[in-house]
Formats: sequence, structure tokens, C-alpha cells
Amino acid sequence: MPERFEQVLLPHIDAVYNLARWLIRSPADAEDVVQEAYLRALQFFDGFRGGDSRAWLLKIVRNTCYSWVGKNRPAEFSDEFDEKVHSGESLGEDVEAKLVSRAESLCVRKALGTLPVAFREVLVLREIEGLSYKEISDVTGVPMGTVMSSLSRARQRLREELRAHTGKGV
Amino acid sequence: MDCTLDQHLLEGYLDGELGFEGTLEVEAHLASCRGCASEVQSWKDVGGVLQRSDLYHNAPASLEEKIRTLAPRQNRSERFPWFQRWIWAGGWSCICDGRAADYLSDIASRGSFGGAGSRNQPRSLADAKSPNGCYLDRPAHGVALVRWKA
Repeated sequence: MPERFEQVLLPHIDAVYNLARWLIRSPADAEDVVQEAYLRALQFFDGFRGGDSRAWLLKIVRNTCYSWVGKNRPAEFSDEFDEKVHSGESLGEDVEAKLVSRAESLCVRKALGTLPVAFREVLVLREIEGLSYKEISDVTGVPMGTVMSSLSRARQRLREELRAHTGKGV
Repeated sequence: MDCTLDQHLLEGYLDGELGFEGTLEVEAHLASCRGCASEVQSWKDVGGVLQRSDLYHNAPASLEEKIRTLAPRQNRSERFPWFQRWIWAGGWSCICDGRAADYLSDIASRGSFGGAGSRNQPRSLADAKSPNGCYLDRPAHGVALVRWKA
């Protein structure tokens, strides 16, 4: 089994670590969580009947991250999206152009890092990992319609954050 | 934006999730709706920023090495199947040894295979002498032996 375990699950270590880093936001803690997730995967590997191993592993990592956040940073779960604060109004074309021209890597990282964990998760899975709606639904365990609405709200929130950062001259 | 097109359709279009007919439908709409076209373009710009921003965290090589060591540690018995086999063999040996000792003890106490019933079994080694001169030599540990008195 160790050989098969390595062949099937180890190639996804970058995806796993990337998700953990964005959800945990601490390199050392993310490494611990990834190790714990791989241990869990090893325990349940006999029950894995083939299919999308990346989605299967990401689901385990995601659950491990949520357990870690719930235990160590429970306040993060209460950081919900505030519809009143973030009205979602459309931005003018000139502002968008300004945003695109001025947004730098640090600014985007900061904006993404300020989002609630659920929004970060869905954006990372879609925009960085390139998962389809169906795959995100499998990983997060929510219906596809919920994935779509979460993604839409997360993007709206990210755009607001980006605008706020560029407005401050970041 | 004045049009009533569902925002999710635009995002589904951007994400390539609509399929052929849905994509054609949205493209036809974008051709005639300046507001939606502008919205799609702004999302493309934001997506481009995300793509250019190098947001991916690659796993450190040391982490991969640590995880490689997890599998053998969890499956030591598979790496050393002989070890597992010896444990089983030892266990069965103990069970068989105990049963054999009880059986021999029973024979010794009765003096023969078809002798007296077990109700008259001796309580001590001294009582275990049988009429045909054999007795049970059963040490604290080890294999019980049936010896014949010279």
C-alpha cells in the first residue's frame, strides 16, 4: 500500500499545501495540518475506491483545516459577509482599469487574505486550483447551486477588497 | 445594470460551466447588452490579476519528505510480514501447547484412554500417578511431559 499511496496521493501535495496555506495562513501550521491530513488519508486509504484522488484528498485537507481553525481561531467562522457594508455596486470602468493597472501581487494576497475563510476557500479552489463547480461541490460537500452563489459573493467581496486597497494607494 | 440576466449565468460563462447552448445564449446577450459586456470584462480583468499575482503556494521539499516517511511508519507490519507471521505462529503454539498439556494431563490422570472419568481427576502432581507408572511432569512454563517412573 505505501507505494500506491505515494503514487496516488503524493502528486497532489502542492494543491493540498496551497489550500492549507490559504485557509490557515501560517506556513508552519499549514505544514502540520497537511501532515495530519495525509495521516488521515492513509488511515482511510483502503476505503478509497479510485476516482478523483485530488478531490478526495482536498476534502480531507479541507476538513482538517476547518477542524484546526475551529479549535485555534474560532472567531474566523463568525466573520461572515456583511451585505450592508458591502453593497456590491458595480464599479466604473475607469476604476476597474485603475485597479488592474495598480494591483500588485502583495495587494491581491492581502485582499484575498482578509476574506472570510469560506470565501477564501471557494476562490482558491476555483481561481487558483482551477476546480470545476462539480469538483468544488464534491470537496466542500455543498450543492452546486450553493457553490455558485458562494463563488459569486466571494468574487464580489474580493473586488470590494481590491478596490479598498487600491483606494488607499496600495 | 438594467438587464435582468442572472449574474450566475455571467460567472458560469466566465468559468466555462454553461455548455455549448448556454455559452451561445450568453454571447448573444453580451453582443447587445453593454452593461453585461462591461461586467464580464471587469471580471476577466480581476481574474487576470489573480492569475498574474503568483498566489500559488508550492509545498516545501522537506514536507514531501516528511510525508514519504508516514506511509512506512504506518505499515511496518507490511514491510515485515515475517514479524507478523511469527506473532501468529507464537500465539497458536501457546494455544496448542495448553490444549496438549490438558489432554496429556487427562490421560495421565485416567491411566488410559478409556479409563475412569474426569470426576476422579487428581488434584496434585503426586496424585497424578497412574496405575501404569506414568506421571505428568508439568513445569511452571514450558512443555508438559509425560514421564514413566523407572
